[in-house]
Amino acid sequence: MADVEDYRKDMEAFFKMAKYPLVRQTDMLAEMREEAVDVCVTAVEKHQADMEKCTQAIKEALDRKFGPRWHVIAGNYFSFEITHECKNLLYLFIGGTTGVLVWKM
Amino acid sequence: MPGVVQKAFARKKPQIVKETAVLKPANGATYTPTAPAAVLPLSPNPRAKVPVSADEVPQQQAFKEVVRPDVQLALSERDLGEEIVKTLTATNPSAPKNVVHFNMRDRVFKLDPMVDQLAQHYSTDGYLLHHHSEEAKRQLDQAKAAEEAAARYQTELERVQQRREEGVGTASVGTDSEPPDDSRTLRNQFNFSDRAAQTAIQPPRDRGTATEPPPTASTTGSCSMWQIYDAYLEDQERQAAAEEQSSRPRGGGRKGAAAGAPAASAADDAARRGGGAGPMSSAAMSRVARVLERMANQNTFADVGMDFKYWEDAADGVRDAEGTLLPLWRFTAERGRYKALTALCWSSDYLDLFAAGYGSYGFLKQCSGLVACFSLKNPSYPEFSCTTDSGVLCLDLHAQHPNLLAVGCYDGSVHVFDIRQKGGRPLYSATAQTGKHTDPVWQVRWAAAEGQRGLQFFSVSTDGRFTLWTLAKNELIHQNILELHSDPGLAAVDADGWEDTSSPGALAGGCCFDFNQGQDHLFVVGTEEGRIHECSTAHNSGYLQTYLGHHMSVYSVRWNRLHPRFFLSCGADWTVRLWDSRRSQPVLVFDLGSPVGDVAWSPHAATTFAAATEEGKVHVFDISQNSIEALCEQRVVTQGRLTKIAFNPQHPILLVGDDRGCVTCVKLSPNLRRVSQSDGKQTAKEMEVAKLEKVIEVALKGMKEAN
Repeated sequence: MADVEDYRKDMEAFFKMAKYPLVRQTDMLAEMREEAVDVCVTAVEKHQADMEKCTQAIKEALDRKFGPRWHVIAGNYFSFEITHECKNLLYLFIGGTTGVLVWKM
Repeated sequence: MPGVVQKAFARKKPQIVKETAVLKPANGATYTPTAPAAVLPLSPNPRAKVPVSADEVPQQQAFKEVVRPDVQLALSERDLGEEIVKTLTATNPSAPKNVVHFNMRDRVFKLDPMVDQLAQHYSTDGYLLHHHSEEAKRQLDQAKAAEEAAARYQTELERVQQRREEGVGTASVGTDSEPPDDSRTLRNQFNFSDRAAQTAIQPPRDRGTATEPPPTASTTGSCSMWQIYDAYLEDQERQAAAEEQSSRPRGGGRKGAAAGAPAASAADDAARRGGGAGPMSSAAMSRVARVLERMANQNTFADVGMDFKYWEDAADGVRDAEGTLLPLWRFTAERGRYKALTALCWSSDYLDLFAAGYGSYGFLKQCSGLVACFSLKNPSYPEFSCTTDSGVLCLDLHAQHPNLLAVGCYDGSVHVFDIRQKGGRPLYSATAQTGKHTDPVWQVRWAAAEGQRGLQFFSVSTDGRFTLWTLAKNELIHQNILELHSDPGLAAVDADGWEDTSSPGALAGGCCFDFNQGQDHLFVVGTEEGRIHECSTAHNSGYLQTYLGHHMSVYSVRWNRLHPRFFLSCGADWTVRLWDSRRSQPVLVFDLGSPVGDVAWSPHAATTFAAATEEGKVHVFDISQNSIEALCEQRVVTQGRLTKIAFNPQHPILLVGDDRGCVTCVKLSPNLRRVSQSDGKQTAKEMEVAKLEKVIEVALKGMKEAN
């Protein structure tokens, strides 16, 4: 019982700490990356419940900003193998729960 | 078919009959014949006369003449009268009788009994229309409309006419009279001509370009709660470490802020210098500079390169036994400017690469030495250069390992360089401890075959030693193959005005040597006092043969490249001598009127060789064409003496070195490089050997007759 309690506390501390977006992997230029991270964070926070709407929002925003054909994956558990255009990949964790992968192809 | 009555009728075979009417005009009256009608008379009598009314044209006679073509069958009366029966039937004979259709309902093929039996042989459309039909109505309407339009136009015309007349009558009102619209008047249709011109149509062309697709990359990964958790923790740790890093100098900065900053910048500088990361000294920069230099040289020496490749002296076709040398490049090394060129050696692997040694022959004015390797592609700066403490006197590039260069110096030391290491130190050096020569080393030569203990080379020096050097792991091991004794017995033989001052047992100074092409162990050594000895590395008991002839120091000996028995020598006594290794006397002697610095056989022709004299002239001989005089005697340098000469192993070019430290490359004109062509039975080499033997035979015969 104590283990469970510890785990719960641990996770609470973790979520408290992990409030910021953490860029895991990217080859974007700094300016583009900042903008893309902003887009992702806003969309994830807005559509916390519905990931489908969230990805749609991200894709539309990115298509508008950086030109078409962006692909977005967002979720808690996934794995991927993708081919992307160089300088157009961003993989980040948001809020300690959600992973978002966007790339252009 | 119902209603069709079967009919049969007989018809006679037709005959082609040509009707000719002969019309005679009577009393100048013209007669217009009616249109001739083709008549196919059915009458069997062709001579039947057409009835002519005699009342109308009494003089006229018309008759029929039957003209039968030659190919027409001549039928007898009976045949002509034969009746051929043709029957009309209701059934079409060419209509198919067995048309079947697949009946989908019964799923069987069924014979179609109703075959169309109508065969249409001729049909024509009439031009009559029923006046109640649609077409007739339309045509009537059109005619009526045209009539009405014509009537309207006519009335218009009349009205205008009338108005004009009124206008004439009133003479003041007719202002608004307009010309009648005559667009409906019928013009002569033949006045119109339709003209058109067509311009050339530009042929369409397809042009397309394909851009490169934007670069792509693949990446893989996965996302799960645990990975997110780990990533965040890692990031926290990193942040903490960075914070610590940044806080530490701030903490220590209170004490020694002034000392800290210079230390850091010094460390940076050191890193920059140590890493050699300066853009001007990087390997990439040197590569780029090298390419640029090569390009600049290629442009500067483009004409020389073209001469080297393509220029042939056209005058050679006219001259019989004369040739010329075309100067190509001149190679000078910056550091070898005031030194004499003392050694030349082509690389056997790279046909454009050669090594040059610089030093001094003067006993009193010795200088440091220089080794430089030049490429024909870059005459302005050596590919490799390295200085030595003492003047270089000889060098040799290894045939199998083109990077190894053996060098002999004036102070008796020998070195081995690796020409791939730029400006580096020698790989091996022989010093006083390791048995260097005590007198200048006059020639070095790599052993043809690799010894059991590694690479080996030979050297000869005026201290009388002929030494074999072996490249051991980290030192040169020397082995004296031979000590050159001056033989008092032989000295007594040629005592005609030539005094042998050397005491018995004294060593003779070796000046040059050359290994036989056929037998690896056989070599000849030229000595300071003018004798040439044939020796073998197999035993060091003495000389196999001694050749007498030179009265002064022998500068160079060379075996023929193709024939294993003959060799050349040259010396300070102005002569070049051709020897048969079986005879102690020279076969041919050429006096060049000046000390001969070097002599070299052509690599392709057995009878061609070149000699360089101290006058600054190059003499090129082809003894098969002229065994007395040179084919070409040409001054190559205006000032200074020539010291060394070397044939390129493949191209028809010669290198000549002088004592001003300059190497001149000259091209042989076609007369100077005549080589026998293989005729199928003998190879070119065999023919060359035979040619040389023939020349020698003639020379020996001449000598016998003289004696």
